[in-house]
Amino acid sequence: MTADDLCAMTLSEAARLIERRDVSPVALTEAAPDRIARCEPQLNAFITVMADDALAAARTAEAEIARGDYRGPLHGVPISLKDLLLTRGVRTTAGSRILANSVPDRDATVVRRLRDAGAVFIGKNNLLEFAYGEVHPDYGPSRNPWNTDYGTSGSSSGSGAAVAAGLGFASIGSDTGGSIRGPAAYCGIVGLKPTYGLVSRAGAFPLSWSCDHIGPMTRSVRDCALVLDAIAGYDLGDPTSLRRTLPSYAASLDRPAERPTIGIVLPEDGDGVTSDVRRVIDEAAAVVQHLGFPIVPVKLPHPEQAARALLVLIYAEASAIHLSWLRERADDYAPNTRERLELGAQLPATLYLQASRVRGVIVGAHRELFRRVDLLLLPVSPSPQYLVDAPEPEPVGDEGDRIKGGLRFTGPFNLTGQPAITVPCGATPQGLPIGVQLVARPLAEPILLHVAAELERAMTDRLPGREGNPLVV
Amino acid sequence: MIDNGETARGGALALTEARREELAPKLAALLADLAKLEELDRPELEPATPWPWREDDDDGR
Repeated sequence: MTADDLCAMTLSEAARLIERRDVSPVALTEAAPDRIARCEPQLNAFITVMADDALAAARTAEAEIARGDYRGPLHGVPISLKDLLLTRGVRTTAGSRILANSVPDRDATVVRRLRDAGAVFIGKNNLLEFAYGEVHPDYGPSRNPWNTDYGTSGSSSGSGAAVAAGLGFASIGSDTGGSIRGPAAYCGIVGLKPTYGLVSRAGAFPLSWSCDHIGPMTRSVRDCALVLDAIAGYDLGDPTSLRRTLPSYAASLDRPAERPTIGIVLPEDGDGVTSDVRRVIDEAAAVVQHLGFPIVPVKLPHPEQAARALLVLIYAEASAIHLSWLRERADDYAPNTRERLELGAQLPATLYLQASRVRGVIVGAHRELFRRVDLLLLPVSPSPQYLVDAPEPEPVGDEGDRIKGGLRFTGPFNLTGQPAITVPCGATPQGLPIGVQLVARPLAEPILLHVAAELERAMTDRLPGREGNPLVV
Repeated sequence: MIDNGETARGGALALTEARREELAPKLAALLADLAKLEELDRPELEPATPWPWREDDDDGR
């Protein structure tokens, strides 16, 4: 097997070979920085590459496995982390100039859990500055491995590019309005925003406490379940962490499951969905019906109002988090990030409380909707592509915040806390991937993953071709 | 803190006059759009918490 063959495996395949001792963690880890060195000039997926630390961790893992101390499927597997997750002794920039030289003395809880599971960290991924406004010019944008003229969406932009390019077997992203699901869909990989409270936020630099979620980005649904098994669970360090006994998500994929009812979100005037995305949603709906799932047409409740409520919460919470830096180091922010933060600081407190009440109305509407369905199938983003070098528009136009339309299909579930996953299901005529989103009730990740895995299997032949593109695996 | 002649007041961000003028039309457009939240607001409700979906509503399947 060549080094590129090693990098191209799924996490599940790599784990199986490591457990059988057919592949060594050191061989896997040595292959990663080589591939990063070749791809990174075109992709810009990393802010920090941890080649030496990774090799040392891989050697430790290899020795542990050799003496029979196998910890599980992540043991010895190279993965990356969005660079807003604190890593002990390794700088954590949050994509900002403000934290450019910040070296934490502790790990985020999710990082500690991955370390405990034996994962090998190969680097910290590029992202939008503080997961918010835009890419900071000090770092520049990540580019889409499927076509580097195009962007990866955000804010977990480097995570999406890295996983799609085989630069590690998984990444951990964060999602406040779609920042896991967007880059996963744009890059043709799987991204899961788990139930709010299922994965600890402790040690993840916050954008909006009440809407932030941490979750896996992987090359398969099974890989996603394996990573979720390692990172989910109660954490005293996160006041919103759920104290629950959790199932094994990977094991639940192998159990027979019922056929839940899937609500297909219908097109609406003004939803902005392109014909390519609509075609892929229609094809996915036909496929799940063919697989025997009952489907019903549904409307998403109050999608525009959900986007507004989410924007208010993010504006206000982010500005509160950044207030002292705004006063002292405003010039160090990228222009659009600064503008968003300054605007957020001018919003009245009554508007924040109003948005919090509207959040309750929207949650109630989704609860009603989920009396009729078990899952939703809908787009991730209305459009599957944008040119990465196009000028960055200012955050606010005559109609309000410009990203409001982009939050239509993802943002509601940051308000409700429901789990949502994106699975690659199609392609544009230009060969860029298109993802489909599935959403379930809170804590219903087992059935969500199960259906996602079935959809993944059924849609494999509709993905864009990889032939001739050395940047994707 | 850099002394730029501004006075920071509890929880508020002081902006220079020039910056305030620059942001004013954007703030107005933003607030005009966000004001539409009132159409869905129900003042008798309390603000929702970060875990707004009651736990007994999920079936965890």
